[in-house]
Amino acid sequence: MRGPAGADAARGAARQRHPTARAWVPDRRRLIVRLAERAGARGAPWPRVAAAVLLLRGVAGDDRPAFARRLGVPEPELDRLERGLVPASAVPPRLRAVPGLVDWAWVDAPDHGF
Amino acid sequence: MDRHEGEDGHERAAGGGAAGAGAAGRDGDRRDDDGDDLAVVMRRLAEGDEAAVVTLYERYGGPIAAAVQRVARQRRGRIDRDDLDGIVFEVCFELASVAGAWSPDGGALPWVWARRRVANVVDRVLGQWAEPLDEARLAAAGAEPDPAAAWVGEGTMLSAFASLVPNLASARLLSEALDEARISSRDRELLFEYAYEKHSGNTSPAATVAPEFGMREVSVRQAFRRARQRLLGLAACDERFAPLADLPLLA
Repeated sequence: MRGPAGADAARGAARQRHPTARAWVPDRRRLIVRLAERAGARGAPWPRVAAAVLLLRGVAGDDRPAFARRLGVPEPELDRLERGLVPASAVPPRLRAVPGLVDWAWVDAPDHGF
Repeated sequence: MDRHEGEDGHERAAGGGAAGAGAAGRDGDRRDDDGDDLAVVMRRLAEGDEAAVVTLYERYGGPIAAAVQRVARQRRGRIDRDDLDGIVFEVCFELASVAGAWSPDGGALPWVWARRRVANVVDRVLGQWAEPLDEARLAAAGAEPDPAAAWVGEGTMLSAFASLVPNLASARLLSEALDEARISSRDRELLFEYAYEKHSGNTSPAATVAPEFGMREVSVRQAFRRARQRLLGLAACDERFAPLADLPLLA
């Protein structure tokens, strides 16, 4: 990035080294609930599946094609997962193998309430 | 998947697994340039990629939270950690909705550029905000000359402005910005005089102001533009001074 945006990058990096930025810890538990609420509001039959997959791709920072390749699934299948159109049983094992980020028992729970 | 503290202090996912493999690949190289990274995230938001909201929250939640806290302080409100997390999510979703209009070339961080939307989200939590009346000052005001008279009286614009600084938050902020931007005393005076003439409807403010400063008109215009640009640059780069961008003085 050049010009003002280059200065912006340097400033952003400096800010993130600042102690106030270091104190930030993402609250993924609440974020996934919020994502599920949004998916539910859109009418997704399995909103928690949508939320879990979106969260994992968001943490990875991948776009959809890159994440689909990483998972070894076709992009349309990933799209269905992210739109909450398939049940939790359809979540690829490689996603379930990611520890610590998603409470899969919550995703698998039958009564979603969204 | 292990977690470790990134250079910027964010907890990052790394190691095995699908999501982890993605994060691990970036930590070493793509994350070298945070400005590029932010531009990529914003572009993905503009394309409607909802996962990018998570990326924005994960990577830039800290500075966004700082911007939220700053607005709350301006409102003299207090936001606890639970509320803060919720507000930061909402700000990320708000930024997603306007991401298409943001450009990294503008030089402003998205949450500074969209500060009004940030403020709206904060206001939804804190409620509408108004600066409380100071009863003592209100009572004393009746015994004092009209402050507006100072702007057209014997004193200079700068001295009139200085009299507002202790009592008016926006004047305090502008005063700090003038110091921070290292605007000289002469250029401060010129800035106020020029802006006053301009906003009074004078179509040639430089022609009116130039003789007062013993300057040529072109030099007055240049000095005004230089001071204004420095202040607007400060407003774009430092969130603390972001409200200055809305001041009519700098319009």
